[in-house]
Amino acid sequence: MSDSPVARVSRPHGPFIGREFKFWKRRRQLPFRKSEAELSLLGNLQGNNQVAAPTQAKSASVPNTKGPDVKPRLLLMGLRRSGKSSIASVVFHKMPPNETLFLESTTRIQKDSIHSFMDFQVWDFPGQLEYFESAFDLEDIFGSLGALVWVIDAQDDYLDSVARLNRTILTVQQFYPGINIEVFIHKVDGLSDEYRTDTFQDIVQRISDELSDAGYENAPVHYYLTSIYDYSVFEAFSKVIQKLIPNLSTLENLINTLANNCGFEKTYLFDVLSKIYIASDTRPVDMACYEMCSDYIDVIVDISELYSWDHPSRKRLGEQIQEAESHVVLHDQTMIHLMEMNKYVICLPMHSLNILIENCRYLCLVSVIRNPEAKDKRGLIDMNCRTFQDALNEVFSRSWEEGSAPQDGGSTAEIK
Amino acid sequence: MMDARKKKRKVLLMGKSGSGKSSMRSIIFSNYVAKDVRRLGATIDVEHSHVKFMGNLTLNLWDCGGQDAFMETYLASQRGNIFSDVAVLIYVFDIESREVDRDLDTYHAIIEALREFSPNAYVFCLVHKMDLIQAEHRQRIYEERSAVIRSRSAGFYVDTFASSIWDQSLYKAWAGIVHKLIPNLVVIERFLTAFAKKINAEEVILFERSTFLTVTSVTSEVGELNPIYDRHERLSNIMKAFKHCAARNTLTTPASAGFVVMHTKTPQFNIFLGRFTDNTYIFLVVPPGEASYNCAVLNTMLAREGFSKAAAGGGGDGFPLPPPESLDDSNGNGTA
Amino acid sequence: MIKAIFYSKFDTVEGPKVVHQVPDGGIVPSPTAPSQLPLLIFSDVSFFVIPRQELCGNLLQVCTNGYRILGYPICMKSARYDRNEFIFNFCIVLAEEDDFSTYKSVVQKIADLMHGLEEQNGFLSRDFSKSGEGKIYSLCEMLMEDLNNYCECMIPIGTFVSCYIPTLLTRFLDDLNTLNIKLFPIYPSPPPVKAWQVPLFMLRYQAFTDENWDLTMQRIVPHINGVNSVRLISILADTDFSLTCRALRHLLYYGCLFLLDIFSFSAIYAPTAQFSTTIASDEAMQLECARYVNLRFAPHPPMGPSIPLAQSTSANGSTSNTVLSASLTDPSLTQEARFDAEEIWPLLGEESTPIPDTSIVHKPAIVDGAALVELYAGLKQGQSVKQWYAQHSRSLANIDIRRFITFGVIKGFLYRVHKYACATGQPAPPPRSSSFTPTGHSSRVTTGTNTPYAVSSLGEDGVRREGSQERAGSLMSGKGAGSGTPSAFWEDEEEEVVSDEVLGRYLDGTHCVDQICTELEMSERELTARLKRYPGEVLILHR
Repeated sequence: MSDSPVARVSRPHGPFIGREFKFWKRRRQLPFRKSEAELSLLGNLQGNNQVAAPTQAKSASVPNTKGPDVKPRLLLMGLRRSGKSSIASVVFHKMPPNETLFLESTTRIQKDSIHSFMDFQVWDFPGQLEYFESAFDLEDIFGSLGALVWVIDAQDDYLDSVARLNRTILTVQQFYPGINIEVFIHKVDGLSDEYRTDTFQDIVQRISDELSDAGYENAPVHYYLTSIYDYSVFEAFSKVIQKLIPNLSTLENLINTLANNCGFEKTYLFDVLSKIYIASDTRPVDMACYEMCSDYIDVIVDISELYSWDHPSRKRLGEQIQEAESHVVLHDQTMIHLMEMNKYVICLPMHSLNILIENCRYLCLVSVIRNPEAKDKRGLIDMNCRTFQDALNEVFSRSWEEGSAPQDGGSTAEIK
Repeated sequence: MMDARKKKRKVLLMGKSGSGKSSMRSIIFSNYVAKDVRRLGATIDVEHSHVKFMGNLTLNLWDCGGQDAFMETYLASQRGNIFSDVAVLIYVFDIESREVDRDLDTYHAIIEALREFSPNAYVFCLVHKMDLIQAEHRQRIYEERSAVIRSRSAGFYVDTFASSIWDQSLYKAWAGIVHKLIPNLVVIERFLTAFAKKINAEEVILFERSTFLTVTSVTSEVGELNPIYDRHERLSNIMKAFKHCAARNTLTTPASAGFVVMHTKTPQFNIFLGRFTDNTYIFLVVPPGEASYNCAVLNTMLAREGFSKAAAGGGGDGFPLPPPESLDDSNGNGTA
Repeated sequence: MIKAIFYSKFDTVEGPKVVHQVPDGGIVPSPTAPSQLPLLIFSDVSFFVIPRQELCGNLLQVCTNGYRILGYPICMKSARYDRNEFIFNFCIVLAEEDDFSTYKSVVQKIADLMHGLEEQNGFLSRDFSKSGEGKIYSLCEMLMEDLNNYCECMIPIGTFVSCYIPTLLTRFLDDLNTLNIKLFPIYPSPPPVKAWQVPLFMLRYQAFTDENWDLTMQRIVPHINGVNSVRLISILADTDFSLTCRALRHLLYYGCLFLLDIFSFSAIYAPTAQFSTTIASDEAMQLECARYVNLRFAPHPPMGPSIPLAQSTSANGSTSNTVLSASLTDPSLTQEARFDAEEIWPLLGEESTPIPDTSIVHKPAIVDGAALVELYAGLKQGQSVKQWYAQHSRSLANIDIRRFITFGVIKGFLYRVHKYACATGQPAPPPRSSSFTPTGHSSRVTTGTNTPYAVSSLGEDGVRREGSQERAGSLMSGKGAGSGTPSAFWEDEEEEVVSDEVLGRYLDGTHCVDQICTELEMSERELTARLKRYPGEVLILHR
């Protein structure tokens, strides 16, 4: 309990001393400033990059990191101009939504990969391309895939897209029954509420009818109404990702315990890069909290970008914990608390192109606290969060590697 | 009182119609976000607004509609009314304008009128809408344009800025403008420099509370090595964006939203943001080290009173302390 | 007279701008009419013609250079406009001293119509015709010409709709988009009509009635004669009372009617402050009065039982179709009055000339202007018409008394002193206790206004009147003519009709006797008698 004296749990500091910390290096993309260095960085991180920054990709000899890839993989599919690239740009490249209008349409299969705690690819299939022909290696496409995200443009005629999706589902289902099918009914910002609901129901009806006609009942298909102009697309992605988290319920239990003990209104475990949350406490979704948490991450990332420069004459003045920690108290005494949850971050110096980041978990815990007294109990909150962090890492260290995790392997016991 | 009168500074905001005067005014002083300004209508005649800035320094902002008919009356029948007692003229050039020569002629006429009635005014020229120029040409085009503007300025010393409402350049331009308007800045800066040294800060920035414009800043020798030169205006932009978000999600207006305190500790720097005086936020950047950071924060709280006195002693009272109830807001971090 | 009409809009580059003006060059100098000097300097007033967005949607007027500009700026907001707004104003320029009230509705109507047209198809914003050309210009031109020459206009506005919609619909739309404007004088709303008021036509209604009129109106009009009260009219015409009131208010609005009070010989009239500036000094008015009141010119014997002395012999055939209340202002009647000035004055009564004066044998004795004024001056507080008549019976021999009083009321130099009954709540004074104080007025209260209250206690008032009221029954209820009806008879009846409780509601001092009589349907005499029997003291106030 937060009001009882709690001894500080000793934490393994050893491996981090003297290590360069690169966590906040990923910069926000400003409207007319596209960092090329970053693109190349991205490209090199993923061995299978084909299109983005081709020159760098070729010049650098990059080891194929496929191997035992245990991150969840996502595939973004849909007809052309349905908004896949826009979604990818907004969610993973922080492009302002109104600028996605100028994105050129993708002409080839494009694998845009994100080096986050998960592996993510956008595949755009030009109209006639039939990926079930023999030329395509189904195993290459769908093997080890966690979820297939199918994007339907709700403002357009969607019948063709629905038909194609059904064919895809039926095909994929034969060989890879474990894949989640996630349908994003996209661009709904332009529709009235009523029309939005109608479209949603129509699409759901058509897909389930056709699938059951083909003898496929209760297909694992989920539907989301999305738009890049609000947070709905982040919310949808969060739900998609959460299905792929091996120990979601364990995580949620942990977060619930933490939130209850610390009096958090809402707590999210965010992936910093995409601002998708991989878990949260099980209280009802509160968009206001989500927005503030998500924007606060931006603030911290952006500020960090301004002051994380390297120079030999920058000297530290004393001991400090390695994980970033921040909080802000707003005008109405609402407090937003943010704590970085990373472990196992291995970064090589920038000048080497052979940057290899394995198992980077760009996670951070963000909480909203509406108790005005919270700012006086920050020490306790920090400590509880660190305890949570240890528990979290224990869960991850087992689950990612072993595939099946121990349920509640004693991890929650620390917070009392 | 003579003094009070003097602190009311008349600021003329002029430029051709559609050059973006009202848009930037709305963003800087009325908490608009950039994408909303396209909904604004044209300014008819002169729109007067009083912007309280730094306590009792009031900017008497005259946003002058730039249509030809209005420009003519400013230069003719309204001449004395418009151009007398001007502290600052901000003239906005639209970089996209196709009639550069005509714009410059108008500008010259305005400058002549200003010289007649307010020869001691500061003149700032903003080359605006720079976002519409391809990034690689920006600097060159801006420099060419500034040179031409200077040549038509009839002996006035002119500060020019490239600006765009879509990025931090707007904050840079306006921070430069308000910097010129604040009295006793030298005293304030001397105080801050001494203070920054005492607490080993890399950088200390003073932001105006409602606009988040940089009032002034001091940077240590090490801090000067920071390769990101536009960090101050980027900070303004970042914090203002978050203020909007906070306002939206706490169901209040951006004007009444704000921060009580913000702490950020990372392995490479520690940052503290808190209310300093009634109208300012102080932003400290100190090197990592938990104990020294906490010391710095406590010292900042203690320094507020001294600072307020120093500012007052220097002949300006633009820095009253915040009301007592908010004084302890930032003391919650006493875990040193 | 409209001096100029112009259409102005806010140009996002140029600012406030006059697009079309009639006459050409009337507002801003025009190359096509270099000789025309502008009436005003547009840049001086442009801020009021194209004001700030917040002021749009209001009638604005600005005076400059001896002219008055009336406008109704409209600001339309839409993303389709450059800078999100379209601000325009159709203005009318008048001479500053001219009455502009009728033009207010005109500018508002034009603004509304243009707003609609602009909303439909961008009628204004898509008009790029040069100054002095195009639809909008000719519209302004026609508007000014028609309004100045005919005080009305009916201008069809062909819209651009024809490009998009089949012909039939276009015609329909065009019909909708007709600018119908008439310069109507605007009058204030008339006060509500009361049941006990007596309407009198100021005009000859035959001249303007037609069969398309409202039915109620058609039925009540013949009964309006300056004698019948509103209540009586509704009874005679068999129309609903409230409809009657509304119809009369309508006539009142257009100044066709004048509302008088019920004429009775027991009523009291007194001159107003205007007396000295009107009839007393205005000879034309004296002549007018003489012509109006002289029984010689009375169209036919007056109807109504209240004027016992109206057995005049004069029946002028030429005006037999004119009602009793023939116009005071109708020029046709003035022309018909083809008598020279000497014949206009009413003759003095012959029978009552006690001393035949030889010096005026050749000239008949007349009531001249000064005598009329004297007669009017003889009316005063505390004296009923009957008492006044008794004093001046000789002079009034050939004068229609009702018309005589009416004339004064209409001209505003005479007013009716109403009586108000007020129950004090005290027990009734002992009968005839004060009958020995014949001076009548027990107290006289003067308030801040120049209207004195004449307060008398009912007992003595009633006593004093009993003799004089026999011939002066109230007009209103038809049974007022029952002169000489034995009091015992109606007293019995009354007991059943109006209870003390009902009557008591009227005795708070705010209801005049006319109202009480009308609403309780009793004559004034009946009321007086009834009040005497009222259980409690009742005061009669004259005011």
